[in-house]
Amino acid sequence: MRYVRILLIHFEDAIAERARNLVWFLIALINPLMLLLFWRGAILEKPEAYGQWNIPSIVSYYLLLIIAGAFLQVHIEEKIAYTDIQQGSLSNYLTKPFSYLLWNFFIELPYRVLQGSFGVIVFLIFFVLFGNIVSIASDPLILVLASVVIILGYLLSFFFKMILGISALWTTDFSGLVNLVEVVTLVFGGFIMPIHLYPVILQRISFALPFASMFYFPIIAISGKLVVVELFQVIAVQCIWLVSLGSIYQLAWRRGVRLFTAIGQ
Amino acid sequence: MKLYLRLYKTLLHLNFANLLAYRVNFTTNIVSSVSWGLFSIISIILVTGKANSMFGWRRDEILLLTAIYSVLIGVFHMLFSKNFERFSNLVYYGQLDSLLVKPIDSQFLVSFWLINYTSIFRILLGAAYTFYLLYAYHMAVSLGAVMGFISLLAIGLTLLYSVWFLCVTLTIWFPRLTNIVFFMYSVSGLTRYPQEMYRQLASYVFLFLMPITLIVTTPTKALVQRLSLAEAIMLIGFAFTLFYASRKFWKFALRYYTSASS
Amino acid sequence: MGSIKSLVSRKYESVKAVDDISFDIAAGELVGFIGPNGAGKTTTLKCLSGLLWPTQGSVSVLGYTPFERKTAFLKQIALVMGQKNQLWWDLPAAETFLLNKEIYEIADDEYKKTRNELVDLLEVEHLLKIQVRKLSLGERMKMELIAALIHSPKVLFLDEPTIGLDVVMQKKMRDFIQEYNELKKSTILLTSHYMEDVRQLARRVIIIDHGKILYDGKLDQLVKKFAKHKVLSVVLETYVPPDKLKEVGELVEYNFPRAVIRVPRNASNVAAAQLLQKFPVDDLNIEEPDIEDIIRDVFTLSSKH
Repeated sequence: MRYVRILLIHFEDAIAERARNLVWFLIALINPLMLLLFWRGAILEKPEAYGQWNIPSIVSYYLLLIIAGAFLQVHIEEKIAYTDIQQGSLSNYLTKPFSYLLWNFFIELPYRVLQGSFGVIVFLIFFVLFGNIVSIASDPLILVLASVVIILGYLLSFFFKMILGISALWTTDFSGLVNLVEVVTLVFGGFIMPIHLYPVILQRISFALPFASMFYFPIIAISGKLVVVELFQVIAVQCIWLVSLGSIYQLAWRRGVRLFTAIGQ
Repeated sequence: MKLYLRLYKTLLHLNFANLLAYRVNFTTNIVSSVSWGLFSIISIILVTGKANSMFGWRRDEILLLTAIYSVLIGVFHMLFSKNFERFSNLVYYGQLDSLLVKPIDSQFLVSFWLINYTSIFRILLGAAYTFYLLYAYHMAVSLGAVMGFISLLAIGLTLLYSVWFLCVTLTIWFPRLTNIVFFMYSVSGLTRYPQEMYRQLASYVFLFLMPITLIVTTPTKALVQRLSLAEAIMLIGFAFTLFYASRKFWKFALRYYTSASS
Repeated sequence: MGSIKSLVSRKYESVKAVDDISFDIAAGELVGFIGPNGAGKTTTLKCLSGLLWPTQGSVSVLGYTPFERKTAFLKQIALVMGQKNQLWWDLPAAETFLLNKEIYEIADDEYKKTRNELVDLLEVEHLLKIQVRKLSLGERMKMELIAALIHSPKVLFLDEPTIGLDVVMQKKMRDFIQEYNELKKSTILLTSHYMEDVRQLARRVIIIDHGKILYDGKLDQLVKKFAKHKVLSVVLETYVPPDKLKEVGELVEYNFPRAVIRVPRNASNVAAAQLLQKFPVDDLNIEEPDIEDIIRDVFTLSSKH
């Protein structure tokens, strides 16, 4: 009897963990699905208002958004701010002959890949069930360039969050700042709807900020909405941002280390 | 009854004192409240930008829906959110016992213990936007409509609370499902869209979701005088049924809790 | 008063009943439940306070059935479990007391009287207006006690009250429990696996292991009934090899110049005389064995059956 109970406990344990992951999964699904419902209704009612965005492309957009949200949204800033800076673990990193940047890069990557694959599974399910309702680029050159855009997008997202994390050394209300940044990212990164459907002014602002390069461009690149020339333009813009963010990071890091080691924690 | 009112008054006082004592959290909460409030308003404006009507609703009515959603969710956050977040920890860390030993209804203690005053900003934001829309779009509003609106909003709040409570009670069997609270936040977000939008779903899914979809839609219709009696009755019916169910389920859960744990 | 009567009647108790706990406690008694971890102490307390319902048998506390959790019942009991806190962290403890005043519907004058009583007893007058997070662990513990007792419960259940405290705090806690019992004449049931708690507090002791009662009665009777040995503690002048000492009795401990030898009870005087004759003894004491040892013997005795 005792062994049955032990078995049941482990079973419950495994289920509990899986149930927890299932809940995370459902959470990631709900918002895009709601928006999809909304768009379906809107487009069906007045298709001419939305130009080249028909139901298949909008569905692809939101499905890819799920993957983008899971894979490209980096969360390292919380660890940097709370564990490393506030609790002082940063000291450990400073004494090691290894770049703080690289270290965090390798910490974050597995999580992103894992979460991204959940999104890919959803995408594949939709692909299998509704075949022609989802669209992805098929031209090999475009796919290669799109991959570059995606990788650069990830790097931008990573650098940005690194900078945000280190800013905890200077900010008094880090949580508030993170909330604000999240809202800005959602609005200008294309998480509400395709940026090309925004009013023109807002489009211009979005393209002037780095967030579109992190999330929006990778999504529309892989769904084949950009031609080769445009892809190269996007990559160029991403590279400029990468250099900028990289420099800001180096500056922030140097100043930050000086501050951290001067006052302890 | 008087006991509970007095107790709640004391809790209001303690929570307020708590707020003053811990000012750092104060600004954080206001910033996030307002940020998310602005976000939902910006989203709906953008998303309805290119059309004048959908699902049988005019664009301004859909915007109004979001405004009223902000008010409702603000009230919900103020009264209940922190308590639900606390609940999953209560079970996980075995602190439910000290609650059960008190001579006060346990569902009350679990639901009303904490108050989040900073949500008032979300409510104000929503209310301000509501007034703005009513004025800017010249929407006719009568006293009767306002009374109906407030009553149905309160009933909608009860319904939302009951759904939350039913789901969160599950953590008694699955203490690790602390993230169910985040799931419920997403589910609450369902209420900001017109109920008619969900008719696109397969009928069994729609029926399952129906109570939730009515929460903000119905009071809003009352305000702009588009309400059908049937919908009002459905909302009231669902609210009472689910509230009753939440109490029954809670008692059932406690029976399980007090028989298996050690 | 609490009584748990089993469907299996008392006559089985002497023949070691299976999973059967039965006892009666009168008003004002201070009873200690002792047993190793997992013995069933906390479970018993939870049954008595209404947090668990027993699968068999009946429970009655103050005339109520605990697991019905009637308001009138809950107002008269208090359960304090380990260090789980109910004080609001960022507020002065006084605020939590006021909250409990509302929860237990305590009248104003009665509240003031009890509060002052407890505050005086624990000497925390000057700390009432300070935020709980700024208090030391000991001060916080005192406030927790006041919060738990502000409604003057007739029955108090204490689960491991001294766990996690340092030696000084443990003593203070025990003193308080004793004073409180004398002052308010409330019934106190405490569980512990620390012998010092038992030694100082419990006049009556119930020993539990594996969900069964091994002993129920006065502490000194326990010693007389179960202690089969006495302990001789010796201080030697010059070194004596252990083998020699072992001739007198069981050598429990030897850290020169101290030695501890265990001998059968009735042979203690003879053994003492032997020691004094044969060896260069500086000091000699004949002691009762440690309560831990006695209880350990009780446990091993029970598991042999």
